[in-house]
Amino acid sequence: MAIVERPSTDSEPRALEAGPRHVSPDDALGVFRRPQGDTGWRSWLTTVDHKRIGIMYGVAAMFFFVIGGVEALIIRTQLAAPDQDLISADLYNQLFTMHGVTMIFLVVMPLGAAFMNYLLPLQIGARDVAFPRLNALSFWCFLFGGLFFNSSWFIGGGASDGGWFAYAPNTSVVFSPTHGMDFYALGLQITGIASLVGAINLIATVLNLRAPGMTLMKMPVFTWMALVTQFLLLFALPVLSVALFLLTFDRLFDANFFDIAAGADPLLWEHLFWVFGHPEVYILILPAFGIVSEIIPVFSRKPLFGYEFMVFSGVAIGFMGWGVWAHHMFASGIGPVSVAAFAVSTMFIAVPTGVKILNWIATMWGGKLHFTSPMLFSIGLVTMFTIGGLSGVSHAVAPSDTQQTDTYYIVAHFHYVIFGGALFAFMGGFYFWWPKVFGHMLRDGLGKWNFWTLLLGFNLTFGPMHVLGLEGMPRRTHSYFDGYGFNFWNLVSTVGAFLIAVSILLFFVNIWLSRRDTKKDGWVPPGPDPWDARSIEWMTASPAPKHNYDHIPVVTHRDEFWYRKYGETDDHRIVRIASAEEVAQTGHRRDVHLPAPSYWPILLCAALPLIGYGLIFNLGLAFAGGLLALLSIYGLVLEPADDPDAGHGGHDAPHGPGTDPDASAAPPEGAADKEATLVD
Amino acid sequence: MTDTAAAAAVRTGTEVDGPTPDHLDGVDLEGWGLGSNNATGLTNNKLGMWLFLGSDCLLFGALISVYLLMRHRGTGLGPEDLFDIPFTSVSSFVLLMSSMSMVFAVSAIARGEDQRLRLWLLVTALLGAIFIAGQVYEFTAFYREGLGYTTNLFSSAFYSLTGFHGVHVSVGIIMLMSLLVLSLTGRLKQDRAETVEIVGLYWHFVDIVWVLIFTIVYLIP
Amino acid sequence: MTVTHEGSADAGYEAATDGLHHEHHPSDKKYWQVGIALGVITLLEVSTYFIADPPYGHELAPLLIGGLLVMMVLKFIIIAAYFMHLKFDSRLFRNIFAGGLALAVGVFLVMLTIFEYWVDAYEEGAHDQGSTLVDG
Repeated sequence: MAIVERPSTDSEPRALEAGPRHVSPDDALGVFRRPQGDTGWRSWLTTVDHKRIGIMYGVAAMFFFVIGGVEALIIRTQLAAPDQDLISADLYNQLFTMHGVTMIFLVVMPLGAAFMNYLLPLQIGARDVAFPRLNALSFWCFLFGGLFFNSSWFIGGGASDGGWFAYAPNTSVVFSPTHGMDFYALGLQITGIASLVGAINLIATVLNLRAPGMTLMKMPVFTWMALVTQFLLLFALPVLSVALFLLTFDRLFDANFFDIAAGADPLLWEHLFWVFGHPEVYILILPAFGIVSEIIPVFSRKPLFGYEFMVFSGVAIGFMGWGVWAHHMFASGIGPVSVAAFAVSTMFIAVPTGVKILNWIATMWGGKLHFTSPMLFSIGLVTMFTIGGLSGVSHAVAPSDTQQTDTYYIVAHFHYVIFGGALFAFMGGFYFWWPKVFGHMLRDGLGKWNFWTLLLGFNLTFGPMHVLGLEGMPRRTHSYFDGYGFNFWNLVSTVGAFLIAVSILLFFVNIWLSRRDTKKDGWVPPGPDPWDARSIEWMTASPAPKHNYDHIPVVTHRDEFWYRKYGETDDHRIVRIASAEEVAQTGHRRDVHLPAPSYWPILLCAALPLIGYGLIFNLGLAFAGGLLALLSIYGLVLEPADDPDAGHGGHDAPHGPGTDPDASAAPPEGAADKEATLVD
Repeated sequence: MTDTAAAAAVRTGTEVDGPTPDHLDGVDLEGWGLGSNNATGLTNNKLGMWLFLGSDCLLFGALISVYLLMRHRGTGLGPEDLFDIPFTSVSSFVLLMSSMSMVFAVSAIARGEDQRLRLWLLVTALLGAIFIAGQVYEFTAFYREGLGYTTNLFSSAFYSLTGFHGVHVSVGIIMLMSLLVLSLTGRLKQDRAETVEIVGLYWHFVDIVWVLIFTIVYLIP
Repeated sequence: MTVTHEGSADAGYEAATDGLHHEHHPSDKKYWQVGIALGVITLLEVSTYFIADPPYGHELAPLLIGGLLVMMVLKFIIIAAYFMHLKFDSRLFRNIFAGGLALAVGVFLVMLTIFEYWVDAYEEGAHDQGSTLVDG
């Protein structure tokens, strides 16, 4: 970890560097000169700044959101009326598969990553994450993996078509002859690397880099939820990795893992997938729970009710999430004993989530509520997720689930929890933290239009699916017959879907308009703390300075920033004791050394799709990709320091030129001291 | 842990939470985040490696379970037809010894003994290579007796499990050789002892996994 | 091959590693002892192969398997505690590793149970051994 304040040894502060710092070519092991400076598009390709990486995650996720949304709209158009053949059944399979994989792996997970990446160092009072270059690696891996996966639309004979859950042997070569499922398996391996490396990074960050005085129980709830999420990723992804390897070996090299004729068990895939798949859904929702736990207290003017309960319920969800996976397999023939056991464990896991819902409501109770856009979206999560949770509880009752499974009732459930839950929270998070990230507010009026159209559109789309499911409409079928009573609600659902599209369009318009607002006369920047918030990321300038904090804050309380702004009188009234501007750091400090940019992460990540394409089409290409990857790993690890203070005293010792010279898929970062030019 | 962090942990009573404001004397605030001067007193690199190893447990757990399920399903050649326990025992012993030499390599660099470090690194890498050679020999023998990768369920599962382990070992050997080269070119001095320790952690983990595989796959009938 | 234990091993180690010092850093002699223990256990493990022949192999099987598993766990713990230094390092490392391990063992034991692995394996084992005690 190379971010450090250099104490002035002179009587005056260090002079500002006038221009790009000279780095001699000898310093770089690679072919090209070490990147410098941080303006221009190239600086984004080589950045290791967690804030820029967070922004890139967000932009990429919204890009994939549009793609997944278009896929959904095509589906809904096809289903608007009975007996339609706008798209073939085969294309329909590809659409719902790509929609599911895109939304889960390329939208909701990266949106969580966007917020966690941007906020975690700021919330714990650090200057960056533990392994900044690995952070960049994670992003590029995700992006290239997502692009690789989506390229199945154009090459290989057809997009992935086996469902996002990809049950084998249905996804073996015999039944899925196009290359779509190869793109699925290999694409998810690549994005899996991104998340696994990210998990190691963020856990080390939260455990190691908290500001002095910030004990675990003083961390913001968002940080806690992020920590639990990262542990879930750390332990769940290897299982998915194994499942995907087995599928890949079956498809590419004729192995027998899912070959029934050879004696394989058809349930093997299901188990391996859902052992990953169930923790995955908590990975999707926990960051959202964290976001809402930050927003609601601010706009209720009250601290979060039951902080300890919120933390422990999050941890409990993390633990218990490992014991329920077979509830996705109630109708698969696992036997009554297993069904009963998992039904009970599934019912239990509703409890910690219920605790959270109650605590959010209790936070609002008796508070002075301000219904800003972030608050509306957060209340949206509380209500919509509760609905989704209730249908979830009905799934836990195995006999009733036997009726519900594979019907639209399930589709309703998971859209209520993922869309109504996670996505609403992310929208709220956008509105809440936009000023911190970009230095200006999103328009709140337009935000409210955004919210209400989204709420209406969302409920119109997925509410009727409860009815459709209970009336027997099956999932994953490209059309339905007339005369079953499905027509009306499907039409309503389609109308709702297009209303969602309008709402998202409003969001993009809001982004564009609010940016234009900043150019107008009389625009006033929002300052460090436009919402009068509670946690320390608001205690620095907006947008957050490149070095985050001038001085690492010393933390004495939960909601440290609030504590510095407000005090309590003897008769227990809360009074303001300082303004935000007085408390917040200005961000003007100039002599903070930050990790230098690097082109190795993006280079390494570019090698991975090469390997993927190579494995599918041409082994020579895979070999070339492997070589590039190996070279990039060496480049990454051996990247030399250009810190002039290296070697002074012994205390910097473990941070000389790259430590681990090579590593397996998840190389721990050799924390070399690297300097960036601090260009203003 | 550093003296500072260790002492701080003692004062606050918890090594994960780090120093609190009343216990900040002696804590280097300006250099906060560097090395082990942080909330836990543990370096990022070492913590990162342990997290990775924790994750790898799940990887091998899945592979071993798949093997156990597939071992006796299907038809054709099975473990009882092919395994040469005495041979594999020697192989296992070799890997075990390589863990010993690894430990001595870590001790050597801790004491600043560059030559010893290089010797023990080389020995470890060689022993690892002998292990891999043994695996290759074993697999070739199986193959000649009719057990290819795609022959049956047992073969796919067996080769996948041992193959994953073999790849882990090979990556470890590459790391060891890289450390050796770094040392020979003067870039791995005593102050970087932790690097060798971290590679050692990886190597011991790979050895531990073989302890599991050897018992579960080979010895348990 | 002997390794001479230079007297100031611990002090040197402390000075070397960025002030990182392990309070009870094992000496090289201790490592040799640990290594020998591991070797002995391995020999015991391998010896089970030679006594596990039919016809009484199947009856002995639970005992042998139990013994093998115990020895396996012992080796695991010894390597983790001494070679990987878990016994002397921060508890956090131990908790992370133990957590991952416990999760892996727990989840996959449950998975194998759902697959009725234990029943199948027992029957399979009996069948292989040619025992007439269990119906094939």
